[in-house]
Amino acid sequence: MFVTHYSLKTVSLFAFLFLLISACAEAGGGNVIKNEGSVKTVGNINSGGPSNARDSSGLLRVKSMVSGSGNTGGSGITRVTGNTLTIKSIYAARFLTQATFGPTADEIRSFVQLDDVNKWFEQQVGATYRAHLPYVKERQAAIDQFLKLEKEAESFAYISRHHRWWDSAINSKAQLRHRIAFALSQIFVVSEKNPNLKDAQYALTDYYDMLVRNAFGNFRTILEDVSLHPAMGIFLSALKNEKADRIKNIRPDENYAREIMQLFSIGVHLLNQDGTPQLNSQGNTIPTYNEDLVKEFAKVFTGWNLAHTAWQGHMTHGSTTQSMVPWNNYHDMTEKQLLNEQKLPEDQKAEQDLDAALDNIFNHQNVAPFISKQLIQRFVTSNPKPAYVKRVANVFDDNGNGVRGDMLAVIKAILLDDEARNGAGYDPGFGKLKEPLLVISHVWRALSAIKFDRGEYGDFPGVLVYRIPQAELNEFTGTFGQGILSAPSVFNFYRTDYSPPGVLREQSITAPEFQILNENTLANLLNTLNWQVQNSHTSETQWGTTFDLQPLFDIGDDTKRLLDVLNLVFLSGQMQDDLRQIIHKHLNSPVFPPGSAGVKVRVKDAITLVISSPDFMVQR
Amino acid sequence: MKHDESRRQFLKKLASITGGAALLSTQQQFQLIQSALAAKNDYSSLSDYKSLVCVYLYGGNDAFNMFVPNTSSGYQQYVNVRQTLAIRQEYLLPVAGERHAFHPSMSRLRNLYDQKKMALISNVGTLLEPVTRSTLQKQAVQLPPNLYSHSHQAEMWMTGLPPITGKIQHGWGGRMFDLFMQGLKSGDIPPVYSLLGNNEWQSSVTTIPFSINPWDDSTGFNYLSGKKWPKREKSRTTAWENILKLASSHSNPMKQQWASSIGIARERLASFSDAFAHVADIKTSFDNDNHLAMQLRKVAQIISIRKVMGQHRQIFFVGIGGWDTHGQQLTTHADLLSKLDNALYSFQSALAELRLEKSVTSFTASDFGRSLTANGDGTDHAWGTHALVMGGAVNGGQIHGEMPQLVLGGDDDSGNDGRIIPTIALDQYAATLAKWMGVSNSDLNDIFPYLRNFATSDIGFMA
Repeated sequence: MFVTHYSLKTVSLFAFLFLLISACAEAGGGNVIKNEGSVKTVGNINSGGPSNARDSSGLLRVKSMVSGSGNTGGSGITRVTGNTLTIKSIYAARFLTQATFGPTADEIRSFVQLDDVNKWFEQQVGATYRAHLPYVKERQAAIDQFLKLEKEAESFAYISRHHRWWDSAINSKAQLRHRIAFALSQIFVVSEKNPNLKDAQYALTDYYDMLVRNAFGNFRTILEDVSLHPAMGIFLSALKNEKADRIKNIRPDENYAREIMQLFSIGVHLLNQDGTPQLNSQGNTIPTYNEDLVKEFAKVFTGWNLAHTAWQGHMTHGSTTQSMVPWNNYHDMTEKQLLNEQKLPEDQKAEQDLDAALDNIFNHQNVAPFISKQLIQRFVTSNPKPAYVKRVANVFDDNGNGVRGDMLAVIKAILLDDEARNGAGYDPGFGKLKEPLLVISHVWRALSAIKFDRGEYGDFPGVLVYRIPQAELNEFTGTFGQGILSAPSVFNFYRTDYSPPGVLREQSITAPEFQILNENTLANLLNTLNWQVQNSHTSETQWGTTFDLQPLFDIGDDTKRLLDVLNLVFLSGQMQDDLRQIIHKHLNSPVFPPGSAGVKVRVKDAITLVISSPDFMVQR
Repeated sequence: MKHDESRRQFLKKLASITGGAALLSTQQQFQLIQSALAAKNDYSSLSDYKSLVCVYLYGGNDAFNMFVPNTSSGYQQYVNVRQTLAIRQEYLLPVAGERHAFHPSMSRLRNLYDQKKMALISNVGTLLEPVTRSTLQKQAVQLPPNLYSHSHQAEMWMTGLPPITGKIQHGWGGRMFDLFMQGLKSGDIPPVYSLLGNNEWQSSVTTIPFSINPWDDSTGFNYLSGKKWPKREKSRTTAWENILKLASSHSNPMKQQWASSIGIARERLASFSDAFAHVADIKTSFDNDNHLAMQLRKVAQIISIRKVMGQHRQIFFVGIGGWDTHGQQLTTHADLLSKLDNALYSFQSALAELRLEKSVTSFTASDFGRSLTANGDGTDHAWGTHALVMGGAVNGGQIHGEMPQLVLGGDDDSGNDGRIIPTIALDQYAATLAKWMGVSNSDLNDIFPYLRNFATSDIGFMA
């Protein structure tokens, strides 16, 4: 079924093909991709073939993808019978770039085979995943032993916490779930940079587990689980917050009350459903709350303590992984004023007040646009059109079955919206700068990063998963500008409305990820990845994680195929001719050794040039 | 006057030029500035060396526990209001005269204060115009927006401007430097250095700060810096450069910006690496485990190669987080002040080694002060705070400004919780520093649009 009235905004081949796809999809964000006659594939895609058992799926599958011969592996270059780049594989590559920690040839192939994005979502929801905390605790014994500590040193668990995160990001099948948790961790920020949380690594681990668990759940549940988690209680000091005591000059701590509104739910000014700010008759924004309201909410968040401990105790004695528990002696029992003129009556217990207050916040009209826009920014594009934000916000308000705050529905709405699927085809402003952790994960996944389970001096065996010489995994914030649960403050790594000076600010284009980009982080990022690429399959692999490039070496003689694969996996098929020609020219230069040695370094150079390009760094 | 006019127009023109194209390399910026200048200007005649170091304390420093009244009535007032958070008098470190004292963690800075190399600027905060308790209560006065929000107040401390939703504003350090860029010799590296990444204080029209890692000496982009040999790297580098050039012809502005950032980084890293070969061998020890100390050590090193880089004016940004002491205040604050004390003292010692004590001024800045009242074991966001200014050119060993009455609901309280109304505006504090750097009075008013609302633009803490 062709839709001929669709207006073409560009004449590029791929844009045309994308438009065909969208025309066949349902309006308002297609969620079914059918292999109908109108969408013609170009060449063959291998739709079968035995799978190889392999720890990390990366470009091993490349061979079967391009050959269509169903070979299981082994050496030798198979003949080309089809193209790597098809409408479907390109769709898959772009979708998986947005929805996972980076596409692999294997997962592109599976996605194409599945041929039904709804089924992909079902698989993702059903994919098994493991909580990190049990593993982290279990590995702690190994760390304590290695460090010759007499007792459990939770403060060192940051090592296993970070490594376990990377293991999941690179290897877990539950990619979307983990990707959502990662996005949530940048909204509901807690950070080990806080001096009080630095040593509470079990709390941090469990906090992240909680986000992972809630990824496909309900936003209201997230609000509650976050509010009652010890990590947040410590981070924003709701823990052991007491009702007022006039004699001792004590009033309730306002920290959590302020930030739960400013950052976790409604923001500082009223929004339209499309994310744009509401303006009063003088053209000024309208605040969502004032200081008095902050004080009122501060009274709500009183009387909460860690489980299994007394009120007067050190902050981290007691359970730092179980939900906080109410101590009503310390809870403010007065009347409280909330948003939208709602009042809480006096004499309510802590748990009653909390429940009602969270409902009050959850039901505020700002939540849908405020949260939807930020999630769009984490997955798809930094400058969503207001209409896109509105479509997603509407789904947040009602998933179609009368449910508010359905995270799965919201994520689907974000990923399947026409703007997400096709924006690159018609909007030069579409897209986002990849954040450092996603640049790294994309490269590591696509190129089969090899696990490295020993430190520089053989330290922490059995705990480490990957290693790079440039920085320890837990030092990524200083090195690349970003690290997991390691932001400089509750305001995350970057402000959501940041625009760097230069062409972006001149055109009022928002690009949050540029806020952590500077000489230091840029050089470190490229130097690290290129060290890994250039040193793969050499004796330098003893120093850290490198890549298994054999499948690419196997096709390295055929420059076109090589570049097709790199184009698909890294650039979602968008490599322009002029870029391709530049890489070609280098690969054909008389600067390479002869024979198979030359093939290897050509492959490495092709990878280096692709991943060091603006086309890779900017996700479209 | 005519001269000032042409400079203002120049800046406007520059803004429109640099805004319309991809971000210029620093070399191009200098060329643009030199060619745009019609006549000689005030700043080109600077031949002495001066630099400012902004030491940012993220989260809001509880300065009312950093510097405490020590007379019997003053201390009593303090104890009455601070109660569980009050520092015991026997632990305080009195300054000469003994009417005030520093927090127990600050023995080195107390000594610098007594040596007159450090001044205390009392009760500074963000203001658009002077505020008193009565004008506040009558709501007859303009206030900075979102007074107790970290992000808004930190932005205002760094920009000197009330934050406007959705608008990115330049920092006052950056605006100051847009003027100095005219008078400085052309070089590849801007004299604007950050040891803590991108920050609003240094953001400006003409330049983005040069970000440096305190530990590593980044030399550039490995595998992509081939000049002549090996041939493969040279060819690869050329290919990369061509790929970057493509970005400016693509219509995607984010790719253009990224490619442009790479271009700037390459230039800067190469030039800096060459210059850094001449770094002085500074004997003063800096504590390896103190991140602020490591940042300041790097600052001292950069200062030591200022002549190689041809820089007469430089600004540096360093910082330390964790000051938002809503809980665990007594131990946390003590630890942070100790780090501050140690790092600043090492830095001043290194400057003494370089014989530049009079040429470098360090000053603290923070989101806000903290409430006199507690929430149990911590304090909340408040307003007026004390600041420290350190250097050989400082009128040290004294308090500049008025110490507030530490009384709940008193004349200095904005309400009843002990959020003290500042008596010195951030603009005044910053303008005093900018003036020392050589900014003219008329330019001060351009950089600080609200400055004219206050009685004086020079608090007097710089000699």
